[in-house]
Amino acid sequence: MRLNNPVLTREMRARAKGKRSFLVHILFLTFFLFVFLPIYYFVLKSETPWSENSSAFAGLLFILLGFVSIVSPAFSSGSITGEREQKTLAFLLVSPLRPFTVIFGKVLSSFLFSALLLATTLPFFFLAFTVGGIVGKQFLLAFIIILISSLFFSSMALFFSSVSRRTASAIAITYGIVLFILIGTFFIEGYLASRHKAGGNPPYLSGILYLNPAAGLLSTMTEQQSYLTFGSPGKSLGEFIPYKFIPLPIWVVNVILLLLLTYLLLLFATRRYARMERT
Amino acid sequence: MLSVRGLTKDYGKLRAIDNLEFEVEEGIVYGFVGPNGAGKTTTIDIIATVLKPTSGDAFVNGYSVVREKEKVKWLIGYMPDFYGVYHDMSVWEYLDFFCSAYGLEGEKKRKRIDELLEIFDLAHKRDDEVEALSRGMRQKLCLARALVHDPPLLLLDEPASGMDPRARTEVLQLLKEFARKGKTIFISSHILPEIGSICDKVGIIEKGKLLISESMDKLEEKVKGFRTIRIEIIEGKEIGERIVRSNPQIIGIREWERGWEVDFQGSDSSLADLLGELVREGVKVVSFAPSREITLTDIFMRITKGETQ
Repeated sequence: MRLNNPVLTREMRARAKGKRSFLVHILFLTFFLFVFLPIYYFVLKSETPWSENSSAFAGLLFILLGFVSIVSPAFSSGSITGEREQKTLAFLLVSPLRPFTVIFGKVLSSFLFSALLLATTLPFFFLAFTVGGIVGKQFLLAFIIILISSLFFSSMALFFSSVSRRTASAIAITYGIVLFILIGTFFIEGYLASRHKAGGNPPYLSGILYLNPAAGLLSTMTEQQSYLTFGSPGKSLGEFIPYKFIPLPIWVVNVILLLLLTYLLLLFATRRYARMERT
Repeated sequence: MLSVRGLTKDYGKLRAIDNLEFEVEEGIVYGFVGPNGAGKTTTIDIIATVLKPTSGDAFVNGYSVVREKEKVKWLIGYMPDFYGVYHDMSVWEYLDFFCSAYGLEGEKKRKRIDELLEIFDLAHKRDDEVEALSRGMRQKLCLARALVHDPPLLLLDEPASGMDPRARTEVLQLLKEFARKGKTIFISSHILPEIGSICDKVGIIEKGKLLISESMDKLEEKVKGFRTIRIEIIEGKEIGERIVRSNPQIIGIREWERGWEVDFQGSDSSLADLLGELVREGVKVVSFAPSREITLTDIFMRITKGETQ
């Protein structure tokens, strides 16, 4: 891998110049501001002690996760198919750039752009700190999970871009899987948990939620409040973890799993690119 | 410089190219011509390492395009028939990216970009968006891109198609200049009269099969059955006339002010003997060169049957 990655430079330069990225920034920040201000006002006026307001801003972290799950695939889905569609792939293939340099440059540019978007929300969260609306450690952890999720979604989109012939199909497949991971896994878990409850078994986690960064994000907050009560009202997500098998909090397993999948997706995308031909 | 050995490519049941064998010597312009769908682009793509052959191989300076493509990539400059441009990139950013891709950095890169912009008359378009360039200019830019690493072999697939006559002439002049400076140029084109004027050797392909691969002179000889040599002298006209008229391999003579144009039917060696005899007998020869009467179009039309796959 080269330290100076020409693909990364080109992609970042193009993104920085493009009108689309400017528009995404503006729309996102406007939307975020509209959600943030009412919560901030509510917490400020609330008579509850500051230490008990920590969950008030937690919802914003889920908005961020939702946002990266939309933006990251959108930025990466055309990475390879886009080169094919705009007939520039042959130039890349004939250049001495190593497949990993191309793949890494593409995924990193998409990730950095999402990270930049996330970074623009930091002033809002710092403002939340002043009213005790968020706990520092919890926030840091949540932010790391969101960043890793962004990298994972970008890698997934890039992988499908390397195996699809059209950007549209790469986008459709990626969003389908992202939707399944973020929402579908909760439904499956809920269904399984309710079946076990009916059978009189204790609530448990099937393991499918380990894949879900939203579950990871939730588990970082369970110390303060319960969020999930599938099959067993009042129980926190943390209590569903089958500690007997994996004695780790969900977010730890979630992060390890996402990083492992990211590595595998990039590896397969690199191999796929290395075998690519001009068509 | 380029050696093609038994190159075959199948797309399912269709054989796009069939057992191609030819040589391209260093420093020549090799014209690769054939009807649409004959297999020109497939051949160029394989040599450019962007397509794998079904069987056979091609060697650039001895390196296999199948097994040693990383080495081959440094030796070739490739311009495909259809290509796009990156959006949101200026002319210099475009060249900057490809210079970096070939490992050029800092002052070396800046100099190379300036040099290429100058050569291709694009310096005034330096900061313009690539998308905004005319087709001819984009083609020049694409050719400049192929040259960023100064490769010894240029693979050009229809480089002048879609250009206006001026841009086309300029590009062909540039190619001539590159060839003069020692680059080997492998060019495919439909515009036969124009590439005919710059080619040293031609390969004609039809239905994926190479019909012929010869120097222009040899091709002419094959088509006509003889070659025409233009002899220019400044002294010894009488002796010279006697020699050319008595040579049994000369089957036609046309006299002109400063010599003759003769139709010669013989080997290179006997042609050399004729020149030697003229000089030995005191005829002051200033020029003894093939005179091309037949065009590449004529050759192409006579050799091909107009069949496509």
